[in-house]
Amino acid sequence: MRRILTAAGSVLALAVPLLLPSVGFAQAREAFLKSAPRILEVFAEVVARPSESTARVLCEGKEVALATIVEADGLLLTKFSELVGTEPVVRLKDGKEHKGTILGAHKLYDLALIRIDAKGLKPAEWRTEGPAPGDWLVTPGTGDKPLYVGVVSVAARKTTRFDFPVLAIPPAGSGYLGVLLDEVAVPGKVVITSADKDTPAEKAGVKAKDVILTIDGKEIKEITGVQAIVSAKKPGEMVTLKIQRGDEEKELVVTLGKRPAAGPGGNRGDFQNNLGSELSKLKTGFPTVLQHDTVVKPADCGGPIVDIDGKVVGINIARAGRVESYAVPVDAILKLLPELKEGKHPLPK
Amino acid sequence: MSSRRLYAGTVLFAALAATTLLAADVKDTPVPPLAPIEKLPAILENATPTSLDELREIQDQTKKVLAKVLPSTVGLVVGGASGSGVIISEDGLILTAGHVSGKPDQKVTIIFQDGRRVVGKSLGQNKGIDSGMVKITTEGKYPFVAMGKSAGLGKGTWVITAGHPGGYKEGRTPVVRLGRVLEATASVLRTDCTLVGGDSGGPLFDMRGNVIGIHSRIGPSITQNMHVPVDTYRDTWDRLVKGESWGGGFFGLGGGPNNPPTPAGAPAYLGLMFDPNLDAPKVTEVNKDSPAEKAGFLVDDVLTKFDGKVVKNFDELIKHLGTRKAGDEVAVDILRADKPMTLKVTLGKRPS
Repeated sequence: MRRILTAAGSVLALAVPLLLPSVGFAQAREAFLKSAPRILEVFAEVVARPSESTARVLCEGKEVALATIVEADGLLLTKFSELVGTEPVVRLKDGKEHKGTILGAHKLYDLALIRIDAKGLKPAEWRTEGPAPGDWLVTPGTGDKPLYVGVVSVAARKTTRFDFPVLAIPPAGSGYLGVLLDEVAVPGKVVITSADKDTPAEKAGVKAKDVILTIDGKEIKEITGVQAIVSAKKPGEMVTLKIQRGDEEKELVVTLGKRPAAGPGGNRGDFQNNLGSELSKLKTGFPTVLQHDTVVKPADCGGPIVDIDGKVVGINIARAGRVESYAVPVDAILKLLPELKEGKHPLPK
Repeated sequence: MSSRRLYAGTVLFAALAATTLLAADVKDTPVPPLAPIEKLPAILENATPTSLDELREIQDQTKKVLAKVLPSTVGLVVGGASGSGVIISEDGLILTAGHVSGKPDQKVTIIFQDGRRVVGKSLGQNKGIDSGMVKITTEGKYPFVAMGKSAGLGKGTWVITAGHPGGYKEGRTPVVRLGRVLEATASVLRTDCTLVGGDSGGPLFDMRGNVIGIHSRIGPSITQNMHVPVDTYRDTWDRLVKGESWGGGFFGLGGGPNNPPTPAGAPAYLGLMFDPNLDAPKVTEVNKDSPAEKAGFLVDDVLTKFDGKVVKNFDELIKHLGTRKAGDEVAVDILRADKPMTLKVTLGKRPS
């Protein structure tokens, strides 16, 4: 059994049997997958119309993303960070290719607005009411059959700092406490779950179960708060930890050590997330997301995702982890689209 | 006169009964009776849909089930570990993974989908199969689900997964996935509901909303998602509620007479892929440059004995392979076009 350490220092309990002898499964022959070809076929009529609102984006001859037609006279949205260079080519369902001009890009949602010289296109038919967990979600491509199917995992939500934890890859040679932390058991507080022998924290008298109140006078509410202070300091520098132990409050001065080379702080949660499917390069920071369980390839993001009636409920924006893909919900798209058209999100120079 | 004596007798009896109730402990909780398994239409059991109507039926049932089961799906924090669990009794008994609840009698924080937290303690764990139990100790009546039946689960059975991948996150309801059973044995269920760290201990439901599995571990492939079958919780109920910790090594690959110990040293690697739709270990791929390729294995070979031990199926092969290590030379009996042969393979090290 392995206890997997995340970057934040808390342990995620899911054992990865890396010791499983490599007697593997020929998964291409798995007949009972939810997304098996014979099931995708049944969804074909669902994507008949939305596939006409889907386009393929090529950069330097390579398929890098899908795109969503948002207006009949040649406006599309796609995933900005997948574009290379400034001259994307858009291939519509009818096979015709058009040169695209990138008019702007919304940084947080990673959506770029592209204009092509084409008229009479079929724009996405939006559904404004968000779908619920358990609803089928179908990803059309530009063909007659869907590319993927899945279900809504979490209804559209505002993301928080807990959704996109800062990856604790601290600057090389930065200060190091030597503790494992947990910010989930007690909301708004960070608890030390272990202070191993001979770590800088243990030497200063820190014990497991201590609750961190302040560091250097700053109130600590989450693990990123600890990281921000500690990784900005150098080995040998000191921090004052005010902790609560039972009923008592104590002040402890820790002399920071040097982060060990192959430390346990390495993000093995990230390792698990990367097992079995490729993840998008840019997969965090979206202000709102519609989360689903479809295994979308990164190069197939940027196109619409529809419900079982074929109505568009979002634009696939990232394969974010082993269990999750994100779509930008329709209400966010309808807000940022006029902003993009008005030039409020010019391309970075 | 007789009525007074009767009255005194009754009071005494009531007093005794009250004392017994106070002394009742989670240790004595009886296993819940198996509720009758309601029959479902084929499309909600394991049929493959052939029409949009059937797809809608699956969607409608999924949402009915979710309304019933998500309130009982919880996040768990034990020591520094974050996992998931499911409440199966009104007074707060929780099924989870053995590696989440860990050693018995530890403090556990239980988190509901609305963020409410209560406390509890870990009960027993079976390290061999990775089952575990937790009991909420904060007084209260809790939403709970029924344990279903995992024996006889057919391939293709529609299942729903809930859990807290990445650990519980404020404002994020339990993460839902829909999938199908790909393999089912007495010791493990495999589905295409993807799992990741934090999901451990969370529930796998059938389309009735009964718990039929508990998330345990993953493999490198996106379809290697393994769950503990729920029947084992029933079969080992007393040991779990009494807070016993038992079971060998690494998920059955070590310790005990039926589980030969995992040796120290690099784990063994063969380099073969097998047909998941068959019981018999029939080769579908021989990895390039692998020990199996060097030993002369070919596609369509059926393994019959590994290291002198009969292997009737994939589970048995894994069990025996797990007792060997890289560098060991092993005789493997096969059938090639119905002709029995023996190949000698020097087991390699798993490539990184």
